[in-house]
Amino acid sequence: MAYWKRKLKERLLKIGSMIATIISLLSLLILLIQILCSGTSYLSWQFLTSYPSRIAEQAGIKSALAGSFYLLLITFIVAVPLGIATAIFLEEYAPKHRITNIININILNLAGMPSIVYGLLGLAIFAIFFGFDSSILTGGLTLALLILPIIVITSQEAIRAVPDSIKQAGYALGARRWQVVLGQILPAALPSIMTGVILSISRSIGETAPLIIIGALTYAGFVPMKLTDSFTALPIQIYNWAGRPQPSFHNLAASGIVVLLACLFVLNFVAVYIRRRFQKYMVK
Amino acid sequence: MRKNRGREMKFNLLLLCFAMLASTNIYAKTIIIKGSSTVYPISEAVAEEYGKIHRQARVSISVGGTGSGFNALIHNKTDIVNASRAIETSEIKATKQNGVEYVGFAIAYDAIVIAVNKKNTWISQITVDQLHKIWASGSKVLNWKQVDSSLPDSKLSLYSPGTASGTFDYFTHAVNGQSGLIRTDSTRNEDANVLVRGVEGNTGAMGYFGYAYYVNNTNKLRALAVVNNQGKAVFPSQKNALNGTYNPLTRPLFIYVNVKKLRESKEVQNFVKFYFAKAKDLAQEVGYFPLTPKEKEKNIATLRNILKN
Repeated sequence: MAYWKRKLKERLLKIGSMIATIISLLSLLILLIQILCSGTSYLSWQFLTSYPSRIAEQAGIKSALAGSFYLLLITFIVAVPLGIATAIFLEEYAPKHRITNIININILNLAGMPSIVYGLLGLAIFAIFFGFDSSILTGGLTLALLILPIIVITSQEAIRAVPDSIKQAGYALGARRWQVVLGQILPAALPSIMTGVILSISRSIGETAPLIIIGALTYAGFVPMKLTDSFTALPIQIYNWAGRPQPSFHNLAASGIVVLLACLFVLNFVAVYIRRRFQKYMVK
Repeated sequence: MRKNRGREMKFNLLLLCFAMLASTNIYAKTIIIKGSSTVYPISEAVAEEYGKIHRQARVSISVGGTGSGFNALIHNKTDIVNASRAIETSEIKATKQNGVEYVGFAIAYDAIVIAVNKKNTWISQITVDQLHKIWASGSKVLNWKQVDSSLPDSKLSLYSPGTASGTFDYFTHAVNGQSGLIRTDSTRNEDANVLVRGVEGNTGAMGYFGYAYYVNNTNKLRALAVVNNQGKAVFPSQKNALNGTYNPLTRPLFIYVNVKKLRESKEVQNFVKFYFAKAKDLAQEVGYFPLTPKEKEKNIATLRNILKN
């Protein structure tokens, strides 16, 4: 009796989790197939190197692609050092008491905040207060704010996962705290940190709402050349095409999505590669 | 060797950042256009054609709704506003307070289509009074039978553009007498394609949106004729929009130009002139109705007068 019951439970969990896996994979597959079916018709070199056009066959994503790339660059340069440094401070230097706890909880909350809130924040601080207007700098800084909490959290986790023995060995050899942090902890934690960084960066390139809030362009007949230039980005271009009345523009939007997915795929691949490659150096 | 390459890459990256920071403005002034998503396709087409002739020109268009476009004009932050409605009194007052001069030009026409499901066989025309009865703020009409007792007992579901759209402003003003005044229990979406899909999939549905969304989906939905101020039922079409019989749901689309920027910048002048010259063909190409030649001449004369003073 008891044996029979246990076996049933075992079966139920197995089948239940299998069904869940199938459902999630199937919906992903349907989405992918749908996008690939309607998206490949306009996919060409010309699509990547032309400006937007009223004629679907001539339309392209040059300005959007360039905008997204520069956004990525600014976001990376700003968010990564800030995020990692914050994580180091909170894990290694900050005294463990109530206030640190409250700060940690708040960072967790910030990571779950809707992106549109960051858009409003970016508009108020960077666009209006600092007077950067709707420039690519404002966009990059806003996206940096958006992913900062995620980078802090993943970096904290990575630093926490470094074995205590490494730290103790460092101190035993007479190293200072900064020497242990920079020489031992950070290199050991770097693969996990970089994975977290790249995953959060790839989240940022899909963001539309905060960019629309700060006043990003929909049509840009030029590529941004300096930090104060206005810009457009891939998700905005896709959003605009998807809202057009003509069905050919909906296919154009699907082509844009294919490009965006390809970018995400490359970024995620890099994350996996970094992890694999640098894990060799890690002390097991 | 590997270390060297890494250093080189870092150096290149740094160089790129400096280049972005330091590069001076070698381009002509950027022409800034902001506002309505309805007018956007026309301005995009004009900007595209303009860029083909003036290679060094930089035109930027952002979409945030007519209201946000006028707000940018009030704060002198835009050269041109894409507007799917005329400027409102409160906005006129604000421009005066800030000393901003502007001039508005009608550049095309659009018809707002009342669309129903293909399977809806019971109605082919509707009066503005009936529309008001259905869409009025606080209206309790939930069934076609309540619109008119001769109509069948079928659930009425309503699809409306979102509050940020000029289509919403114009329709509420034309049907309910005040811009923004409308019942709140309809399905709303900023994307008119969603409204099309809603009306397509729901037998008792009624929705309203711009003509371009109807003309691209004639196989999916049906337009109602609207009884105009002369008591005649008129279907939406280019002819009926331009001869004024499809009323009150034909609306003009505008651009508002910042006069100070117009006088200061040759680029803006050239662009607006180009806009007038091309608006007829390009508006039609993207799904709107063109101005009459007379209206176009009037625009050109107005522009000439402003530049003279």
